[in-house]
Amino acid sequence: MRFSLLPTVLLVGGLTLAAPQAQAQMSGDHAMPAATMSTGDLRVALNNLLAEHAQLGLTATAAALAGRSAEFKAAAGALDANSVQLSQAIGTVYGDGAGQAFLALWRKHIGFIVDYATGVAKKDQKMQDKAVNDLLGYTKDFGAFLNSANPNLPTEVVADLVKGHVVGFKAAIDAQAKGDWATAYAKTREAVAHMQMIADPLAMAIAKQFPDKYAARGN
Amino acid sequence: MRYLRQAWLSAGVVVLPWLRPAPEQTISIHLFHFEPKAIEVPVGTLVVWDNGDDIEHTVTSGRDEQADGRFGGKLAGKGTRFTMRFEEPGDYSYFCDRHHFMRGEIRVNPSGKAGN
Repeated sequence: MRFSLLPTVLLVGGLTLAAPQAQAQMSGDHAMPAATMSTGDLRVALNNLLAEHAQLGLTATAAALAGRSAEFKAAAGALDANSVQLSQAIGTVYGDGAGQAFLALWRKHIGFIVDYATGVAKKDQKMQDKAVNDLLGYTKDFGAFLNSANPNLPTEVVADLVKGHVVGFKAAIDAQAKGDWATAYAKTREAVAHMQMIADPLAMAIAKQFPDKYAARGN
Repeated sequence: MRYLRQAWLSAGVVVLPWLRPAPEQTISIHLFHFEPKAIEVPVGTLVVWDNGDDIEHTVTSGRDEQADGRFGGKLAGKGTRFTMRFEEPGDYSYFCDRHHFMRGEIRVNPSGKAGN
Protein backbone atom coordinates (compact mmCIF):
# COMPACT_ATOMS: atom_id res chain seq x y z
CA MET A 1 0.00 0.00 0.00
CA ARG A 2 1.32 3.37 -0.95
CA PHE A 3 0.07 5.31 2.03
CA SER A 4 1.18 4.76 5.57
CA LEU A 5 -1.40 3.59 8.08
CA LEU A 6 0.45 5.43 10.85
CA PRO A 7 -2.03 8.29 11.22
CA THR A 8 -4.84 5.79 11.65
CA VAL A 9 -2.95 4.05 14.43
CA LEU A 10 -2.12 7.38 16.05
CA LEU A 11 -5.69 8.55 16.01
CA VAL A 12 -7.54 5.52 17.20
CA GLY A 13 -4.96 3.38 18.88
CA GLY A 14 -6.46 0.50 20.78
CA LEU A 15 -9.78 0.40 19.04
CA THR A 16 -10.82 -3.02 17.80
CA LEU A 17 -12.26 -3.01 14.32
CA ALA A 18 -15.60 -4.65 13.88
CA ALA A 19 -16.71 -7.04 11.17
CA PRO A 20 -18.61 -5.17 8.43
CA GLN A 21 -22.02 -6.66 9.03
CA ALA A 22 -25.23 -4.70 9.09
CA GLN A 23 -27.19 -5.11 12.27
CA ALA A 24 -30.04 -3.03 13.54
CA GLN A 25 -31.29 -3.62 17.01
CA MET A 26 -34.96 -3.08 17.51
CA SER A 27 -36.00 -1.57 20.75
CA GLY A 28 -39.44 -1.06 22.13
CA ASP A 29 -38.21 1.18 24.90
CA HIS A 30 -37.29 4.81 24.25
CA ALA A 31 -34.61 4.58 26.92
CA MET A 32 -32.57 2.40 24.58
CA PRO A 33 -31.05 3.52 21.29
CA ALA A 34 -33.30 2.40 18.46
CA ALA A 35 -30.45 1.07 16.39
CA THR A 36 -26.72 0.64 16.41
CA MET A 37 -24.33 0.28 13.53
CA SER A 38 -21.17 -1.74 13.66
CA THR A 39 -17.86 0.09 13.46
CA GLY A 40 -17.18 -1.86 10.28
CA ASP A 41 -20.39 -0.66 8.68
CA LEU A 42 -19.53 2.90 9.59
CA ARG A 43 -16.08 2.52 8.03
CA VAL A 44 -17.53 1.05 4.86
CA ALA A 45 -20.17 3.79 4.59
CA LEU A 46 -17.67 6.62 5.03
CA ASN A 47 -15.12 4.96 2.74
CA ASN A 48 -17.75 4.60 0.01
CA LEU A 49 -18.88 8.21 0.30
CA LEU A 50 -15.38 9.66 0.37
CA ALA A 51 -14.07 7.43 -2.43
CA GLU A 52 -17.07 8.50 -4.51
CA HIS A 53 -16.20 12.12 -3.74
CA ALA A 54 -12.70 11.68 -5.18
CA GLN A 55 -13.91 9.76 -8.20
CA LEU A 56 -16.70 12.18 -9.09
CA GLY A 57 -14.51 15.21 -8.40
CA LEU A 58 -11.85 14.10 -10.85
CA THR A 59 -14.47 13.02 -13.39
CA ALA A 60 -15.84 16.56 -13.21
CA THR A 61 -12.44 18.22 -13.62
CA ALA A 62 -11.55 15.93 -16.57
CA ALA A 63 -14.79 16.87 -18.30
CA ALA A 64 -14.30 20.57 -17.57
CA LEU A 65 -10.71 20.60 -18.84
CA ALA A 66 -11.78 18.83 -22.04
CA GLY A 67 -14.62 21.29 -22.56
CA ARG A 68 -17.35 18.64 -22.21
CA SER A 69 -19.75 21.00 -20.47
CA ALA A 70 -22.81 18.72 -20.37
CA GLU A 71 -20.74 15.98 -18.78
CA PHE A 72 -19.18 18.45 -16.37
CA LYS A 73 -22.62 19.67 -15.30
CA ALA A 74 -23.83 16.13 -14.68
CA ALA A 75 -20.66 15.18 -12.81
CA ALA A 76 -20.82 18.35 -10.69
CA GLY A 77 -24.45 17.54 -9.84
CA ALA A 78 -23.55 14.01 -8.81
CA LEU A 79 -20.62 15.36 -6.79
CA ASP A 80 -22.91 17.74 -4.94
CA ALA A 81 -25.39 14.95 -4.23
CA ASN A 82 -22.48 13.05 -2.69
CA SER A 83 -21.59 16.14 -0.61
CA VAL A 84 -25.16 16.39 0.66
CA GLN A 85 -25.14 12.71 1.60
CA LEU A 86 -21.87 13.16 3.48
CA SER A 87 -23.27 16.15 5.35
CA GLN A 88 -26.36 14.15 6.28
CA ALA A 89 -24.13 11.44 7.69
CA ILE A 90 -22.29 14.06 9.75
CA GLY A 91 -25.62 15.60 10.78
CA THR A 92 -26.86 12.24 11.97
CA VAL A 93 -23.93 11.98 14.34
CA TYR A 94 -23.40 15.60 15.40
CA GLY A 95 -26.72 17.35 14.75
CA ASP A 96 -28.32 19.31 11.93
CA GLY A 97 -26.36 22.50 12.59
CA ALA A 98 -23.10 20.59 12.29
CA GLY A 99 -24.33 18.84 9.15
CA GLN A 100 -25.21 22.15 7.50
CA ALA A 101 -21.88 23.70 8.51
CA PHE A 102 -20.06 20.64 7.20
CA LEU A 103 -21.86 20.95 3.85
CA ALA A 104 -20.90 24.61 3.49
CA LEU A 105 -17.29 23.87 4.45
CA TRP A 106 -17.09 20.85 2.16
CA ARG A 107 -18.55 22.73 -0.80
CA LYS A 108 -15.97 25.44 -0.18
CA HIS A 109 -13.07 23.09 -0.91
CA ILE A 110 -14.81 21.82 -4.04
CA GLY A 111 -15.09 25.45 -5.15
CA PHE A 112 -11.35 25.92 -4.61
CA ILE A 113 -10.63 22.76 -6.64
CA VAL A 114 -12.80 24.15 -9.44
CA ASP A 115 -10.86 27.43 -9.19
CA TYR A 116 -7.61 25.52 -9.54
CA ALA A 117 -8.86 23.55 -12.56
CA THR A 118 -10.11 26.79 -14.11
CA GLY A 119 -6.70 28.38 -13.54
CA VAL A 120 -5.03 25.39 -15.21
CA ALA A 121 -7.43 25.54 -18.15
CA LYS A 122 -6.79 29.26 -18.58
CA LYS A 123 -3.06 28.83 -17.94
CA ASP A 124 -3.51 31.48 -15.26
CA GLN A 125 -0.73 30.88 -12.74
CA LYS A 126 -2.00 33.55 -10.35
CA MET A 127 -5.40 31.90 -10.19
CA GLN A 128 -3.80 28.51 -9.63
CA ASP A 129 -1.60 29.85 -6.82
CA LYS A 130 -4.54 31.50 -5.11
CA ALA A 131 -6.58 28.31 -5.30
CA VAL A 132 -3.71 26.28 -3.83
CA ASN A 133 -3.32 28.81 -0.99
CA ASP A 134 -7.07 28.73 -0.35
CA LEU A 135 -6.98 24.95 -0.27
CA LEU A 136 -4.07 24.89 2.16
CA GLY A 137 -5.90 27.34 4.42
CA TYR A 138 -8.97 25.17 4.12
CA THR A 139 -7.12 22.12 5.47
CA LYS A 140 -6.74 23.93 8.82
CA ASP A 141 -10.44 24.79 8.88
CA PHE A 142 -11.42 21.24 8.12
CA GLY A 143 -9.03 19.91 10.76
CA ALA A 144 -10.53 22.30 13.30
CA PHE A 145 -14.05 21.26 12.34
CA LEU A 146 -13.39 17.58 12.87
CA ASN A 147 -11.44 18.26 16.06
CA SER A 148 -14.38 20.23 17.42
CA ALA A 149 -16.67 17.38 16.53
CA ASN A 150 -14.42 14.76 17.95
CA PRO A 151 -11.41 15.33 20.20
CA ASN A 152 -10.01 11.97 19.05
CA LEU A 153 -9.16 13.72 15.77
CA PRO A 154 -6.28 16.17 16.29
CA THR A 155 -6.57 19.31 14.16
CA GLU A 156 -3.09 19.12 12.68
CA VAL A 157 -3.29 15.41 11.83
CA VAL A 158 -6.59 15.90 10.00
CA ALA A 159 -5.19 18.99 8.26
CA ASP A 160 -2.22 16.94 7.02
CA LEU A 161 -4.49 14.18 5.75
CA VAL A 162 -6.62 16.69 3.87
CA LYS A 163 -3.44 18.28 2.53
CA GLY A 164 -2.64 14.87 1.02
CA HIS A 165 -6.09 14.90 -0.58
CA VAL A 166 -5.47 18.33 -2.07
CA VAL A 167 -2.00 17.44 -3.37
CA GLY A 168 -3.35 14.24 -4.93
CA PHE A 169 -6.15 16.11 -6.69
CA LYS A 170 -3.73 18.73 -7.94
CA ALA A 171 -1.45 16.07 -9.46
CA ALA A 172 -4.39 14.36 -11.18
CA ILE A 173 -5.75 17.64 -12.54
CA ASP A 174 -2.32 18.66 -13.85
CA ALA A 175 -2.05 15.35 -15.70
CA GLN A 176 -5.59 15.68 -17.07
CA ALA A 177 -4.76 19.14 -18.39
CA LYS A 178 -1.68 17.80 -20.19
CA GLY A 179 -3.62 14.93 -21.70
CA ASP A 180 -1.26 12.53 -19.94
CA TRP A 181 -4.00 9.98 -19.33
CA ALA A 182 -1.81 7.19 -17.96
CA THR A 183 -0.62 9.52 -15.20
CA ALA A 184 -4.06 11.06 -14.78
CA TYR A 185 -5.69 7.70 -14.08
CA ALA A 186 -2.82 6.52 -11.87
CA LYS A 187 -3.22 9.72 -9.84
CA THR A 188 -6.99 9.26 -9.80
CA ARG A 189 -6.57 5.80 -8.30
CA GLU A 190 -4.19 7.22 -5.71
CA ALA A 191 -6.62 10.02 -4.89
CA VAL A 192 -9.47 7.55 -4.44
CA ALA A 193 -7.30 5.25 -2.29
CA HIS A 194 -6.16 8.20 -0.18
CA MET A 195 -9.69 8.86 0.95
CA GLN A 196 -9.39 5.77 3.11
CA MET A 197 -6.78 7.66 5.11
CA ILE A 198 -9.50 10.12 6.07
CA ALA A 199 -12.49 7.77 6.20
CA ASP A 200 -10.90 5.16 8.48
CA PRO A 201 -9.70 7.50 11.24
CA LEU A 202 -12.98 9.40 11.05
CA ALA A 203 -15.07 6.24 11.36
CA MET A 204 -13.00 4.85 14.18
CA ALA A 205 -12.91 8.15 16.06
CA ILE A 206 -16.70 8.40 15.83
CA ALA A 207 -17.06 4.82 17.03
CA LYS A 208 -14.71 5.58 19.93
CA GLN A 209 -16.69 8.70 20.81
CA PHE A 210 -20.08 6.97 20.67
CA PRO A 211 -19.49 3.37 21.67
CA ASP A 212 -23.21 2.88 22.35
CA LYS A 213 -24.17 3.85 18.81
CA TYR A 214 -21.36 2.23 16.91
CA ALA A 215 -20.68 -1.11 18.42
CA ALA A 216 -17.50 -3.04 17.73
CA ARG A 217 -18.51 -6.56 16.77
CA GLY A 218 -16.23 -9.43 15.99
CA ASN A 219 -12.54 -9.08 15.30
CA MET B 1 -49.21 51.81 58.68
CA ARG B 2 -50.93 51.64 55.27
CA TYR B 3 -48.92 54.67 54.04
CA LEU B 4 -45.76 53.12 55.32
CA ARG B 5 -46.49 49.91 53.40
CA GLN B 6 -47.26 51.86 50.21
CA ALA B 7 -44.06 53.84 50.58
CA TRP B 8 -42.11 50.66 51.11
CA LEU B 9 -43.62 49.04 48.01
CA SER B 10 -43.03 52.17 45.94
CA ALA B 11 -39.42 52.21 47.02
CA GLY B 12 -39.19 48.57 46.08
CA VAL B 13 -40.48 49.24 42.58
CA VAL B 14 -37.79 51.84 42.10
CA VAL B 15 -34.97 50.01 43.75
CA LEU B 16 -35.50 46.45 42.63
CA PRO B 17 -34.72 46.98 38.94
CA TRP B 18 -31.40 48.48 40.02
CA LEU B 19 -30.65 45.41 42.02
CA ARG B 20 -31.58 43.09 39.20
CA PRO B 21 -28.43 41.79 37.49
CA ALA B 22 -27.93 42.85 33.86
CA PRO B 23 -29.20 40.11 31.56
CA GLU B 24 -26.60 38.00 29.83
CA GLN B 25 -26.89 35.60 26.93
CA THR B 26 -24.20 33.25 25.70
CA ILE B 27 -23.91 32.14 22.09
CA SER B 28 -21.60 29.22 21.63
CA ILE B 29 -19.53 28.75 18.52
CA HIS B 30 -19.08 25.08 17.93
CA LEU B 31 -18.64 23.04 14.77
CA PHE B 32 -18.59 26.20 12.70
CA HIS B 33 -22.01 27.50 13.61
CA PHE B 34 -23.53 29.90 16.11
CA GLU B 35 -25.78 28.25 18.67
CA PRO B 36 -28.44 29.48 19.14
CA LYS B 37 -28.52 30.96 15.67
CA ALA B 38 -31.26 33.48 16.49
CA ILE B 39 -31.95 35.05 19.87
CA GLU B 40 -34.36 37.62 21.25
CA VAL B 41 -33.16 39.56 24.28
CA PRO B 42 -34.17 42.61 26.34
CA VAL B 43 -32.34 45.87 25.83
CA GLY B 44 -29.19 46.10 27.92
CA THR B 45 -28.33 42.43 27.48
CA LEU B 46 -24.69 41.48 27.43
CA VAL B 47 -24.19 38.91 24.66
CA VAL B 48 -21.16 36.66 25.00
CA TRP B 49 -19.84 34.63 22.09
CA ASP B 50 -17.75 31.69 23.22
CA ASN B 51 -15.49 30.00 20.67
CA GLY B 52 -15.35 26.23 21.08
CA ASP B 53 -13.55 25.61 17.78
CA ASP B 54 -9.80 25.28 17.45
CA ILE B 55 -9.69 28.00 14.79
CA GLU B 56 -10.21 31.74 14.48
CA HIS B 57 -13.74 32.96 13.96
CA THR B 58 -15.10 36.48 13.90
CA VAL B 59 -18.34 38.07 15.01
CA THR B 60 -18.94 40.69 12.33
CA SER B 61 -22.14 42.69 12.19
CA GLY B 62 -23.81 42.84 8.80
CA ARG B 63 -25.40 40.53 6.30
CA ASP B 64 -24.71 39.03 2.88
CA GLU B 65 -21.00 39.05 3.69
CA GLN B 66 -21.06 42.86 3.99
CA ALA B 67 -19.87 44.24 7.33
CA ASP B 68 -21.93 47.22 8.49
CA GLY B 69 -19.51 48.32 11.21
CA ARG B 70 -21.98 48.26 14.11
CA PHE B 71 -19.93 45.76 16.09
CA GLY B 72 -17.33 43.12 15.56
CA GLY B 73 -14.52 41.17 17.09
CA LYS B 74 -12.11 38.31 16.57
CA LEU B 75 -12.11 35.09 18.54
CA ALA B 76 -8.59 33.82 18.00
CA GLY B 77 -9.18 30.19 18.92
CA LYS B 78 -10.69 27.73 21.32
CA GLY B 79 -11.76 29.29 24.61
CA THR B 80 -11.71 32.90 23.38
CA ARG B 81 -14.70 35.20 23.85
CA PHE B 82 -16.21 38.33 22.44
CA THR B 83 -18.80 40.37 24.32
CA MET B 84 -21.18 43.11 23.27
CA ARG B 85 -23.86 44.90 25.29
CA PHE B 86 -26.92 45.79 23.25
CA GLU B 87 -28.25 49.14 24.47
CA GLU B 88 -30.39 49.96 21.42
CA PRO B 89 -33.48 48.03 20.42
CA GLY B 90 -33.51 46.58 16.92
CA ASP B 91 -32.52 43.66 14.75
CA TYR B 92 -28.86 42.81 14.41
CA SER B 93 -27.43 40.39 11.87
CA TYR B 94 -23.90 39.10 12.04
CA PHE B 95 -21.63 36.53 10.42
CA CYS B 96 -18.12 35.10 10.62
CA ASP B 97 -15.88 36.94 8.22
CA ARG B 98 -13.66 33.86 7.78
CA HIS B 99 -16.54 31.46 7.18
CA HIS B 100 -19.35 33.38 5.58
CA PHE B 101 -21.85 30.56 5.92
CA MET B 102 -21.78 31.11 9.70
CA ARG B 103 -24.60 33.57 10.40
CA GLY B 104 -26.67 34.70 13.35
CA GLU B 105 -29.46 37.09 14.30
CA ILE B 106 -30.18 39.07 17.46
CA ARG B 107 -33.47 40.85 18.15
CA VAL B 108 -33.19 43.39 20.98
CA ASN B 109 -36.57 44.23 22.48
CA PRO B 110 -37.20 47.71 23.91
CA SER B 111 -39.40 46.64 26.79
CA GLY B 112 -37.00 44.39 28.57
CA LYS B 113 -38.87 41.43 27.16
CA ALA B 114 -36.82 38.33 26.46
CA GLY B 115 -37.67 35.90 23.71
CA ASN B 116 -36.71 32.30 23.39
